[in-house]
Amino acid sequence: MIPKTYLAQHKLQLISVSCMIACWAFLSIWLQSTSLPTPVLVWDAFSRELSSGELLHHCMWTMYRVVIAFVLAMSIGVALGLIFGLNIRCNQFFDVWLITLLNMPALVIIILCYLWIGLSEVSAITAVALNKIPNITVVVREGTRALDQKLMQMAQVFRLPMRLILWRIILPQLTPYFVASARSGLALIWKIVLVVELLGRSNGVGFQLHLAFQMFDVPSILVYSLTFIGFIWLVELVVIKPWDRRANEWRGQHAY
Amino acid sequence: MRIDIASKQFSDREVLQNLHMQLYPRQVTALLGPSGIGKSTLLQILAGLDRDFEGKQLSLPKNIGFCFQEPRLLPWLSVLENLKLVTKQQSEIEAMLDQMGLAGQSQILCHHLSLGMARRVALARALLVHPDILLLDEPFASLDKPRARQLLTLMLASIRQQQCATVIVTHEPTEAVALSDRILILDGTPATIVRDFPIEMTEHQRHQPKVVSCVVAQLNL
Repeated sequence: MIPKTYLAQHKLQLISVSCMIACWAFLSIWLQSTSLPTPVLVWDAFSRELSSGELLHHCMWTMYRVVIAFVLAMSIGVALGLIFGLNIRCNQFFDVWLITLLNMPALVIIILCYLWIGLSEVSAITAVALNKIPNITVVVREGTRALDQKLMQMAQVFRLPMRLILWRIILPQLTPYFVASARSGLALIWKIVLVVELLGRSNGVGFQLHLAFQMFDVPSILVYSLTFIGFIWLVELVVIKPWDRRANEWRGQHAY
Repeated sequence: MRIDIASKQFSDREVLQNLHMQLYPRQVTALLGPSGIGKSTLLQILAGLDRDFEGKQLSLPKNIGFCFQEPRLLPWLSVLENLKLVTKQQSEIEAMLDQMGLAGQSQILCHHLSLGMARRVALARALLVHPDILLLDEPFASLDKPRARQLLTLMLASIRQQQCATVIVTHEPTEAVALSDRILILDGTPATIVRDFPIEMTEHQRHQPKVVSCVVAQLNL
């Protein structure tokens, strides 16, 4: 049962989703094409995949890869971003590396990882993480450059230890940048995971999409992609949005 | 503490020249001069924040208490957490908050404080480090008269208890006279100390605005 207050708060969004489904239903009935199945057909396919356990099995494999690659990319990206933002010489030295990786097509990195490391779980996750690390590094580096220098001066005058400077002054200022990286990272990572699975794994949503494509099974393609979008929405609502709200509570206020 | 500045430049512009200062413990020195003359720059040099000058600074103090023009508190932390950055002594923090008239406000997040309250927290932070030198950069800037008066009374009580050398930067002669034992006047381009004279007043006289105004007029400040 959905609470009334939730319905009142999200009225516009609920109307928007209903309109989207209505448009889809109208178009699919009007076109009468196997390329665009009706919402009812997709729902049937969803029930079938869910009851067979296939849907959950493949979604969990993809989720596992997304989570591992995400944690890896965030940890390395944030650390590098902090180092590059705080150390000008280091940043100058590695800037070319960063721009090269940033502009390397995702597909090239995936193929190279499969060729160099082999068709394994390690290469799949490495490929995904390598695709995302440069973006996170750049966002965190820019955030580090925008740190409030007046607060850093305060820390210098009062001779605060590095541990306190990092935890109490630098990281709270960077949290909005972490949230932005996490949000864009999650959106990008799961799309890359699908490509990685399509090219070299025997399970996961990407693998299922590949099978469905070969069978021209459009309802299954929609079922798997919409289900995973649902998972990502859940992560956004349960983890990222509350984190974002907390991180930005003090923003917009006067920082003395 | 002694500092000799032969020259301090910002790009091509020389802001300070031939400036020699000696600071003594338990003495409150006011740096008086028009806005933009280089008073805050001098304070930054005294705090060791700016080392890009010609000249020498003998023995940078171990503990420096600095009240910046803006309180520079961490807005995402509470008053207590801000003060805990500089000392772990909870009882000392509580006593200081009490002295600053902030008892019971320790859990308030700093971005919810008014400017006057934030200034008091910043002063508390500067005093909690048991400074060898206390630097106050325009501590009453942007405060209305009653709030400035309230903070001045509080400062008079607080800084007189300190054993450290205190330097107050201001462009208000009344503030300089009310708070200090000695006034240094900065003037010229590039700026240097053009006058250095003592202020001999009792604590009671410092609290009397009329007496302070009389001294300001007598000294032709």
